Amino acid sequence: MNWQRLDRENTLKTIDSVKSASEAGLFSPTTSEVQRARLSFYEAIDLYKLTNFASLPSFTFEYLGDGTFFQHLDGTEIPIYTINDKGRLTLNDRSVVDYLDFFYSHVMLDDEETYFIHSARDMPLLDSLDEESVDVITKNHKPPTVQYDAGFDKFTIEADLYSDGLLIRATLEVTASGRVSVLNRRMIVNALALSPGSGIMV
Amino acid sequence: MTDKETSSGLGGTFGAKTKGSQIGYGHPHGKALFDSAAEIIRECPTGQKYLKLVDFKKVPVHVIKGNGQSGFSPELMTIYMQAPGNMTKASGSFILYLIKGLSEAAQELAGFRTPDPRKDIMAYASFIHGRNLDSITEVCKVVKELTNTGHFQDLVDSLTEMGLSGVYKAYIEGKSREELYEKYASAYDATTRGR
Repeated sequence: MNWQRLDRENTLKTIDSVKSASEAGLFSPTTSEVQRARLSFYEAIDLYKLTNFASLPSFTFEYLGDGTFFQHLDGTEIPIYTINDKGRLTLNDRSVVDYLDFFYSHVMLDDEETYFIHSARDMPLLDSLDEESVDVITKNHKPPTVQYDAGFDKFTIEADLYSDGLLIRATLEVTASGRVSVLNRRMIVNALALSPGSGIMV
Repeated sequence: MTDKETSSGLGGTFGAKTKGSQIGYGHPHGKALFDSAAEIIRECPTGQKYLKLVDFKKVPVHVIKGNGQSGFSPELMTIYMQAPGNMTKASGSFILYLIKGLSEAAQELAGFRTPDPRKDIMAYASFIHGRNLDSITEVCKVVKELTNTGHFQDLVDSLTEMGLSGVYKAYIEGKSREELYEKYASAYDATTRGR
């Protein structure tokens, strides 16, 4: 993600738009910064990240917005689907993979944190696994493949997901309006179970 | 515990400019999340000790929607827990971050005040890393005390996902604070790399 820090004027404007009266301390303009990143699958909608550096951990909030209107990314699919329904989503064979990567990093489905593995080296938990597990994941990973069905205007993606210590190969469907569903999934390898290096798996 | 905002969290629509007050940050299941975490933490003596801070209203816990970091804010004297808006039951990492936040709040209330970073950034960084290690050690202590419960494996898995399996392993082996710090430093380095 290529983050760009907003200038002071736009930072204040953004904070003013998203601040919460009841949690004002979290949105202090003097100790906060706002960054923006472009997303390949949205037209005129960017990802905004507000970080308050006043304390450690630095509290962060993310939003989808156009500079004036913002949707708080609250961990559900609702804010993303709300933006999609405004007609700002443009998917193609390449951007649909970026979209899924973004979707899985911001949405928790079925009470499970699931990671979309675009590239094995980018997997967020890789650093916390021992060398052997990293090796197993890297060897078994296949890059995502995309098929477009023009009749139904939807994409079918074969991709790896990582959830609850398991590496899963899933068939995902993404409609033109960005609705994501899992058609099927099968376990490739239980990465953590193959992790004797952790020494704490009893 | 407070659960101030329970609005839908849909934020503004494209019909009008978003105003902060339109965005509801409060978690709709905040109380259930806290209660389910507290129920588990209360199963061990160290957990019971820390929960007294909440029971006696010494430190508020606000559960808000989102994917960002959770933790104790010394400036606001509040523990902020973030969880996806559709989460209804505390996950392992939610429980661990709550213990960490409670431990940090306890240290602050005991008089170990966070220094002002604008006065001496090095003193501040050193203090924060020391406190982080202390609170992570307390997290390990709680997890160890919960060894014979049904929650243990889930908590250990969450420690691994947080990059803290090395610290926990060193803790249960009775390693020195210096050795724990080495493990903590490498975990910190790994989790912040590439940010």
